[in-house]
Amino acid sequence: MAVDPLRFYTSPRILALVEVQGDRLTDSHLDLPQGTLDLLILKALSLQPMHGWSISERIHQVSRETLRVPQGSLYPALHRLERRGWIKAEWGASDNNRRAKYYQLTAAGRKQLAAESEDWARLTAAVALVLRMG
Amino acid sequence: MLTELWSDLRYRVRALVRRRDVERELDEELRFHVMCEAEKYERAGLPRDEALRRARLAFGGVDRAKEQSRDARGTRLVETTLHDLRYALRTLRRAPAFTTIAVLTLALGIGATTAIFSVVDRVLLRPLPYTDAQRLTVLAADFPRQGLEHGPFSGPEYEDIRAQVRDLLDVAAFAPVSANVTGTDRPERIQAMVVSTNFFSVLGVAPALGRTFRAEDDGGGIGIVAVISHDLWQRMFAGDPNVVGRTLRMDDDAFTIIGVMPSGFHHPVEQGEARTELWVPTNYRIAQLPFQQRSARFLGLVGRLAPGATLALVHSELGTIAERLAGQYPDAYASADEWRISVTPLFDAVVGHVRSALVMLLGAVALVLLIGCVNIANLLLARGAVREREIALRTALGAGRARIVRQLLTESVVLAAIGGTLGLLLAAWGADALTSLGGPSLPRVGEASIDARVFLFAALISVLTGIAFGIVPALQVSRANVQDALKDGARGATAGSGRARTRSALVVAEVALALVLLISAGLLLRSFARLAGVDPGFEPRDLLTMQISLPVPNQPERGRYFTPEARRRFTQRVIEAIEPVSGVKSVGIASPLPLRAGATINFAIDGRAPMASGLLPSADFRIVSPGYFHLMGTPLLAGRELANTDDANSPLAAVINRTMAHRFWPGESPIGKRIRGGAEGNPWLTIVGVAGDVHQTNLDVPPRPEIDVSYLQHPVGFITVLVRTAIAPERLANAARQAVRTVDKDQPVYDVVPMTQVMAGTVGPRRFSMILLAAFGALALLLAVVGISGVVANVVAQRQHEIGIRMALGAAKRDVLALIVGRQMAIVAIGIAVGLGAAAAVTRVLSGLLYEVGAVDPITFIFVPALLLAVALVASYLPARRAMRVDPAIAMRNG
Repeated sequence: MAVDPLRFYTSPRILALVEVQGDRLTDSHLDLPQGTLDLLILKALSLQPMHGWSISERIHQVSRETLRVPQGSLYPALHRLERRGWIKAEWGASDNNRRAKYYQLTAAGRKQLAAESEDWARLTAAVALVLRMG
Repeated sequence: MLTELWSDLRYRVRALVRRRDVERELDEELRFHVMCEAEKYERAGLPRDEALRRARLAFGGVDRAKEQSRDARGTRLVETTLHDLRYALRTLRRAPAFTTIAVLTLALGIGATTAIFSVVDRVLLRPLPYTDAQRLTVLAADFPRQGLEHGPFSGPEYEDIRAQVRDLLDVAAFAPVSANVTGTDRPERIQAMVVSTNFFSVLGVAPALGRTFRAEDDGGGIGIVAVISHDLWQRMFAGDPNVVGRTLRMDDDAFTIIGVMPSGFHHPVEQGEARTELWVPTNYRIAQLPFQQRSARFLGLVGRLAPGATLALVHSELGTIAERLAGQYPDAYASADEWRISVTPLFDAVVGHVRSALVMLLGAVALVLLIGCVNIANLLLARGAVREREIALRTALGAGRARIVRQLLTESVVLAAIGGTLGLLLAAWGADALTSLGGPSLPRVGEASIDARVFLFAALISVLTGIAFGIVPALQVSRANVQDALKDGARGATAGSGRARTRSALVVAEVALALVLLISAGLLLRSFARLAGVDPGFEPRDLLTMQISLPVPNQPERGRYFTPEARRRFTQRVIEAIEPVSGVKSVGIASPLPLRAGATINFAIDGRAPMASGLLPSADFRIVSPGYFHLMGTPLLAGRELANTDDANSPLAAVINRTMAHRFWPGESPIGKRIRGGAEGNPWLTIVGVAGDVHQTNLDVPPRPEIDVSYLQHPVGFITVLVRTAIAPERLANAARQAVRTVDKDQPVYDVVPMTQVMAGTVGPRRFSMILLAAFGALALLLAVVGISGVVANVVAQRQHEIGIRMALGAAKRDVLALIVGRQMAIVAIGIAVGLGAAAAVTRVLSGLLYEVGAVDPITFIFVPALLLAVALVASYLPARRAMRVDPAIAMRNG
């Protein structure tokens, strides 16, 4: 089947691909594996309520500047978690006295964090075992 | 899990309802993020501008983040749909002619369907107002050898069945009676039921006020109690909350009201048209209703299935019981009788007779809606040619086919929704019209109205309709070839033969469907015309009828009209009181009124042995006043009328009808012969005259033998007063009522109607179906005309270029016209052929409603297609000719 050239480039999937490649070229940080961003956000929020930017900074710092949260994915992730009821948002004043949206963990979120942490530990242990294989 | 779902839903609803707020918050949140990032760079020593630039770069596409955040909200589907809706409304507004035609078509189709559904819903779909109504059954006695089916039971039979049956939890009995209620401003005749005391508990319905019957309410003596209906309570007692304990005078006896039934309750099996409004235990009317006589059958039975029992089990058990009783009482069940007890679900007994007519009408109206759908699909296809370029453009811009189909379908559903809304208004009006048109021939319809169920139905059918007429055009149009359509010189004419074929197929379908409806309507119309042409045997115009029933108290001998003399005098005085009223030509009585009710007797002929079977012949029996035949306009064929001289002191006289004379005295004169009603020992009647035949019960039932006698010799308590008028009979109704009140002010006069209305009542169910089918047929014809002419106009428009060339090359206008119209008529002819086949299969359903017209009546099957063909010819010729007026030169240039 012939591909319409115009359609090929306007397909959202292709656009995403182009941009991801761009990221790789300009950035030497590790990208997060699929699905781990939610876990990291929940973990970061388990310590105290935070706004979006400080969540990404916190993850960056705590991971000794190895993990970098792709900022374009942070907010969709936050909204998704909020929809599921694992975190809830509230507007408050930031350190520099501006209005900021603070996220905090809900009871359901805390349960989810525990479950996901355990899964993660089991997964990494299993992967490590396989990698150490002969 | 549940809380997660709940939070999810709350979040999505907020995202939808407060979309603007949510968007603003997202903006603010992202801006705040970029500020924080910039400040970080600034702290590291970058100048402010550079810091901001770096922060933005680090964030990546803000719009993409927004877009993905929106996705994460999970409201995308709704939002695109809203977008599609707005787009659809814009598109429809831009094509007002198309939109108007489509919306009107849909409004009519959906409106008619919804109106019929509202009636079907009330009559057929709602459960009966009893506990576990589907476990209730009706029992009936069949005596197949005597041709008696679904008959009532006698008191002893009821007691035996109730005592012996195991598969029925309990059985209740009821017998219809009617009585005069007096002691209020205006005496009334009401319909009542004598019931066994377990009646309400078998139905499982509790009263709204007070109590229902207990076993002791029936315990001999005459301390009579009554349960009344909600309506009666409102009408006679103005809804008095303390009505329990008050009394009611019924046929001169006092009744204590012990309970009021809830408003939705009605008696399960009504007798005639009147609704039962009062229930009394069986000690009432004990004198007239001989409960102890095994062969006096007047009780209807309703039973409730025992747990685990089925209809089949009950059926076989009742068979055993019938056999046992026949063996036990050989006198009551002559071996020749072979009586059986049948059992049917109560629901079938209540609505069985109208189910097929209603289902037929629902089918017919669905056909109309379907034709409407076909029409609109056709119009959409025609528009598709115009919209090809728009759609090709959207395809080129990246819209997938599914996306385009969805957009087109949204348009269709929007159309259907607008049409449906209008249709709902039409249905609200139509449901009222249907109820009054159906009248008493529709059971339990109450006031059919638009409620939540009907609304839901209309909404559902609108969406389905939208998809039904939208899907084919949407699939066709979205297949448009991008390259061709976008090329500058492209024409709709290149749309290929595929679409033309689809459109032809739609016309075939439309014509076929319309033909089925028209033929059905034609058959009913012809039946109705035949029936209207039946001579009733009398002159129904300018004849007012009214009912009077004399009271029969529980102890009849204490009644005011107990003696024959009292009844005779009452009747005489009523006639004398009405005669002087101005506008009255003559006054008489009949009991019963022809076409309203029948009464039969068995009779013996003097000097002839009984028939071989030992059974007596039977005849209709009517008590009339002297001069009755003259008043009715029934011809006297031999002998004389009953006269005033045929009174209590002279020999008993009778007039018989033509059918009786021919059957029992063929080739000889019956005048002077003697007959005797019923059993041995009854007095002989001398035949003094022979009158013309009169239809006794219904116009579609041929007259039976009839014997007429005078009230002077047979005084009667149930009287129909007949008033031959010089003015419109309705105008005399009040004066005649007043005249009766001067004779007895406590005597209700009821059913005061012109004879023409009584006749109309007998054809009620047929009339209902006929009027509706005729209306649907007309609607279908109209839609077919719109569809056919629309297609032709479109064909001409699309082939203008080709037509121009042909005409420039010398083709005559009429040749081109013939070409186009001829092709269209060929398609119509195929539709008619298909429709004829379908009609022949479908009209069998109607046979129960037909009268002296076959289900495949040749006249209808020839005339209706011819009519449709002629209409189709006009519908394709006119638009074709109009389009042809265009100058060929212009047509070619524009093409």
